[in-house]
Amino acid sequence: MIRSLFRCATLAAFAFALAPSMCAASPLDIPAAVPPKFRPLVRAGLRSGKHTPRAASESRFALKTRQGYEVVVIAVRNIVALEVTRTRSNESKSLKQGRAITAYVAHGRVTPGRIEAKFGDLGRIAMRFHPSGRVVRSKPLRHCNGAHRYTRRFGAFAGTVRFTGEGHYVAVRAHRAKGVVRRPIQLDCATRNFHSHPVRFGRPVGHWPEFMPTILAAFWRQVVSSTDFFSFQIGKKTLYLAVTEESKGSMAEVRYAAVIAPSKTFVSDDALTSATVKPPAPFHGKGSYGAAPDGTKSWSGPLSVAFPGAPRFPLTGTQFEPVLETGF
Amino acid sequence: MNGCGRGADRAPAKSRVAATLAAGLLMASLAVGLSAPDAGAFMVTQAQARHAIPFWTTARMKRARPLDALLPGRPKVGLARTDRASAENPHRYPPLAPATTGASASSTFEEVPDPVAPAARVNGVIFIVTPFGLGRCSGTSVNAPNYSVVMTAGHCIHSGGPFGWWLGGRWVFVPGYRYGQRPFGVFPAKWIDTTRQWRKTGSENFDVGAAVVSRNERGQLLAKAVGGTGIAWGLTAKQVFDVHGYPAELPFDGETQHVCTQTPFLGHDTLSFLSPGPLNLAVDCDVTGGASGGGWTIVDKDLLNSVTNYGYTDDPATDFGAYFGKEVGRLFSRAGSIK
Repeated sequence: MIRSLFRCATLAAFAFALAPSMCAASPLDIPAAVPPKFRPLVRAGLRSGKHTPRAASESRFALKTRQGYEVVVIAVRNIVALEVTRTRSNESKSLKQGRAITAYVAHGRVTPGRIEAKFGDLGRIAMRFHPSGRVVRSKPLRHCNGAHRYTRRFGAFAGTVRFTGEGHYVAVRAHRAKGVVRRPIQLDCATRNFHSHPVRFGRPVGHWPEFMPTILAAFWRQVVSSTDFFSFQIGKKTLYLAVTEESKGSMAEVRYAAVIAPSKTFVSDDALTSATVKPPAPFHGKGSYGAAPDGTKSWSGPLSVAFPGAPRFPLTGTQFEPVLETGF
Repeated sequence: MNGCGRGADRAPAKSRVAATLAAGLLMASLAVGLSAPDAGAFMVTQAQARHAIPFWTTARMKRARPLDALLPGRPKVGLARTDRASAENPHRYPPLAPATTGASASSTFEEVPDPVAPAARVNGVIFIVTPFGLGRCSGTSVNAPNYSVVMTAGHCIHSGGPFGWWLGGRWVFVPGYRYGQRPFGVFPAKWIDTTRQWRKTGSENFDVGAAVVSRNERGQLLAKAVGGTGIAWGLTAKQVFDVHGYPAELPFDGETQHVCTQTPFLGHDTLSFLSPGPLNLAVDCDVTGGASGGGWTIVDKDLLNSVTNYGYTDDPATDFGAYFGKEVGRLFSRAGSIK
């Protein structure tokens, strides 16, 4: 258990470091952004030493809906994700304000010029890309395998987008949307930051008490559905994450929410026999963990999370397996 | 219960480095016994294949552990409407000796009372020498033009991904295995291969492998000795399966054959949506490590249509297998054409 927690904590540390960029993460990035979803990538990475090959391009466009949501369509390889998130008045991408996304993922036909996918009974996409001629190339990087910069081609996607969320919480119909095709999707270059601070990794983590994390996690899985809640307290901050997955025929529905909150929202005793979390929005309520002397654990309380289309998604209950640990 | 799911059983970074080094050293030693790759596949010399049979003593067979436990990065074990992605042009290759079990439906991995019966003896244990010790999987004899094809999981053939390695070291198939007995002898591999995507990316959506085996000690061809199931690919995912295998992790001991009968397709793993390729299949069957590669045959048709790939530690009752699409069809065709 400790070993697994060590791994969870390590993954969470990665997620913590990634947090600012995670706001803009697509559902296809979720495995890289959320600890429980690191599982397959960790497995793949350990097995092969490398993740799946970098796709040639990523196409994306966004639409705003009358219900106050933003719908972003992202297509990579033959995977098409339609993600729904609440439109914000300000454009801040800080996780301190919380973030919740519901993504619908399906396999479809994707080329740099075309996106086609069906999302079961909820809708479909059939769009073609018409470049405007505007091309932006990123600053070239050094020490790269393959491409050394990103190229973004701007233009418009034209065709049909029809999508209606469960219970009509979101509906979008469009024939045209501004979009971009980026290639490659990922560069394989040496990271400058890693080499410039080697000293930071020179001492054991335990020498910095402020970096001793406390982790409270609760997991539940059945057949092709799962729910994971994860709270990771380190220093004065706590990162809260919730991820649910559900396979629905030819489509997967993946929801995730994340927020960074003050550490006082996560309280645990030194003996690790009890803990309480009360994360801010998009979470609601609080969850209580308890461990009895006989080893039985409880995870209860009105804790829930508001995903687009699922405003009160419960995160506690007897079906969850809770874990409370501290340190690496 | 493991709080972090199946990924939590992975080795940490240091172990990974050590494992990579060990793998490299052992690969170098194993390479002595393997000839150069032939169009991606690995060919084993006849002499090496012969040496594999005496190597696998009963004691070594009992010592062999599930690949899932041995190899770093392996998972614990290794609804829906039909959709375009999982309904390709259907293909079938008939069984050599059609057989039906006539068993009632069960999602419990029940022991097969007579593993040498015609319906059961096509299933067997695969024993492998890996960089991390003696390993084992499950496999199925499949009817093919050369009567010598065993289908299994890709990770029982190749560790997967661009830095993966072949698991061709003394790879043998023992059909009808029980308590160290080899009622039909031992069939050493002379050729092993996986789907191209499994080798290139390690994607679970393509975790299927095949081996062509030499004759056993008695000079018999595999399918002539035990029969062979048919195989089908490109069918709809919505099937009812009998799931076979030799689970070796608790509560099982790997010494007996087990089957979940008439277990229906429940849906696709959400994980498989995040990778290209056909979507994996889920069924209700409480397999454990060692059952990897075990065949999923379509009920009453004796057609192999998937193999056990993996499961999640926090949901041990569900078994996941690869969809048999055209890439599996190509793999089977390659295997069947090996003389």
